Amino acid sequence: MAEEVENFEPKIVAFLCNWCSYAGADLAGIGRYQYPPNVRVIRVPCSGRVDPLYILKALQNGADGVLVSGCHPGDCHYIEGNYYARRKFAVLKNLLEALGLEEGRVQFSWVSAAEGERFSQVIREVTESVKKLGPARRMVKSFEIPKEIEKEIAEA
Amino acid sequence: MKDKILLKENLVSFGNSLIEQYRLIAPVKSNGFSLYKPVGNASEICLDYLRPLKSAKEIFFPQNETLFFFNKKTQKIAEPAYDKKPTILFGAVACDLAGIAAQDRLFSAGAYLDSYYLKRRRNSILIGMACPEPGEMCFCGFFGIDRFASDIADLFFTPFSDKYYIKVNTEAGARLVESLPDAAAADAKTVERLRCENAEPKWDIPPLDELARMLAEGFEADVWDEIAQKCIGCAACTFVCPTCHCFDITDEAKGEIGRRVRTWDGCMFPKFTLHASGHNPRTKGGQRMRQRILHKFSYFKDNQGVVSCTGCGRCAEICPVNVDIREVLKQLGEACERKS
Amino acid sequence: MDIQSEIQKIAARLLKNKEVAMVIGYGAGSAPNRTAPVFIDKEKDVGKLVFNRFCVNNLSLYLPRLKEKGKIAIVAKPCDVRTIVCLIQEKQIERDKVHIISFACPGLLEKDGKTLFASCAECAVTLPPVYDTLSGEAKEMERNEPFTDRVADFFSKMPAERWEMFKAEMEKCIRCYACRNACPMCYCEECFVERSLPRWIGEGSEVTDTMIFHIVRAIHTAGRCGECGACARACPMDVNLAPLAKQIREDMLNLFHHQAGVDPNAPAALETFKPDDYNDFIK
Repeated sequence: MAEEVENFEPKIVAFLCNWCSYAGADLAGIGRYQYPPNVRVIRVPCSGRVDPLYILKALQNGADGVLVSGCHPGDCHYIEGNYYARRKFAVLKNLLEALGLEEGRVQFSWVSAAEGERFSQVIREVTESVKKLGPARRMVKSFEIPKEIEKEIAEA
Repeated sequence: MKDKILLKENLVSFGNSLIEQYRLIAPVKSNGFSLYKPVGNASEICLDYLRPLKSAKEIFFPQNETLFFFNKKTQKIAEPAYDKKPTILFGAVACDLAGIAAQDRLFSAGAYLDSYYLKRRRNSILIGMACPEPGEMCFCGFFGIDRFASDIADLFFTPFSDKYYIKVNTEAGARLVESLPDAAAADAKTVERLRCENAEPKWDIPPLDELARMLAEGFEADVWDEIAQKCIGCAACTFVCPTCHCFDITDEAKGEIGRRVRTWDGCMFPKFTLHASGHNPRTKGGQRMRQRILHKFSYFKDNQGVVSCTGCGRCAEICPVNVDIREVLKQLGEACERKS
Repeated sequence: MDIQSEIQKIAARLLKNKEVAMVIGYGAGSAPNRTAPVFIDKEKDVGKLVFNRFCVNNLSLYLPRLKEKGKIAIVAKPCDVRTIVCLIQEKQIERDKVHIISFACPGLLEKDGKTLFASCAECAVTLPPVYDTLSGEAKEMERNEPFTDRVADFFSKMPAERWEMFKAEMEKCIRCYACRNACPMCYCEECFVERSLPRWIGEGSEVTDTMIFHIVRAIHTAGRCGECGACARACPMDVNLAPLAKQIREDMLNLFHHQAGVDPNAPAALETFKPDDYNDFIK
């Protein structure tokens, strides 16, 4: 177990808003700021577009962590989308943690289009903290297929 | 085959002797009610409750089951291995045994054999348990179900004083109780007396043959909408029912590999009959209620020869809005009388 | 006069004067300690209306589906009135198309006839926030226990244990959706669990699928939940949903100072925002 955690490379799903955080990620690339390759980016129009269901689905399908990132308060391309998102995410995060999901499986950040370096910093922090938590188990859907059956149907 | 006697104090050791060779399923206490569950030690068996909250159907027809696994790339499928250890269902009440009898007709009689059901059912032994007192929603007597006997059970237990009288119905059952003492003639009489003392009360529901006529005549009756007005469209009634057997089949996949799953479905869900075209033939609550009642009392009887309600009263017991199947039949009767 | 006779009197008057087309209330159940919803449209039938401490349903769930009948009177406990207020705010029904018959609520009892329901013991709103006629005295009831056992025990545990308890509850769920269907705020024509394109959660009772259903339902009702407890009472398997409801209720109060359905002019908590909302959890 300890060894598993040591070599553990978490899979993190990052929902990035098109106008700020996604552009921030782009800028991180242009500026050659390094960050861990653990994030799988999903571009969304606005952090307000992220339904709590998406976050839960990511966790259920085996994501070790989920990050949602949008524009700073006051900077939303749609004026107020991230304000609604903030209320929604506060409720979701508190509920999941109240039910006993590890703190830090689901994280949120504000990253603007000008903050390439900050984006790389956020990803480093999120990756580190999820790594510390170890592989996600609690919310992951079991998809047990007996090994011999998996082998049997794999052969052409 | 001679009937046998088991002292109540020996129930646990008897149960544990079965666990060695069989998967034992029996009522187990679960937070204010009991449920049929696999038991690891016979001391877990709990017969304090009237009847388990859910029927015994899921032992042979589970709520979810993987029919097979598939690989989209290789186009190959494989069925999951299945536990060959035979199952003993212990402590099944007569209404549940009648439910199993109805499901047997459906899944294992006629041209349509359900191999998933049969592999479990054929590898099982049923041990019934007399139900001394019907619950407030029970009406099994209306269907002529004897709470103190069942033909489908391999063994049938009737508790009296500090003993169980064991009626032995089959060879398979007899083998399980070989070592127990034979029942005396006096014991048989005691049990018979118990049965007579507990004769069924009268029911103010139209008798079954009259019901058949009413259902045929009342297909378009307004009373269905009246009955269904309070129904909230959940499927709790169909899920706890010992005979409801509708299911849905869906695929769940992760990458190339997936499984085909069979899951219980319920006719009381508004979307149960939704077609791929978007058309839904049963949009009204009344139509759905009619389907549930007619399936039990009319269609199943036409197709399988028996009514598929066993009067266990579970649907009425757990209904969030107190839709009581006895009241439904009564209301239907009254509506037919009004008309004629 | 007791609440039941007053309800009958009010119903008779409303139907006689044709002020309403129908009265939705509680009627006698088919066994002791039970009631069933009844729909009364004739004055002569008002005797069927009962009121006792087993009126477990939240009848406001019938209002949107019966609105074509015209103006409807409804017997509603204060918690049910809260959901009526929410339904009006969400434009599912119109205020002048509903006549609310309410009362100071004594709280409901479990089927044993003795124990107060957990949600009733925790109840903070024993007087209806709005009504058209009030039966009995307008006397506030002493309740509002902050933590009932079902919740206190849960929150006293460490996260890993809480998750195991939550999981054990979810494993009891048979996905009959009685909780959702008993809830007046779950009025969606198509629930996400039944969508097939995309299929959000599996049809079976795999535990994470069940978890997602309950978590998302809790979030969908956040700031709209009248805390009537009808979902918990509808559950045939006695799944303990109280920790979810409790957490949501606390967040609504502490983060957004909002109690659903208490003030008809206050927008639902997740339908609005403040620029200086709680932000500490965001990097």
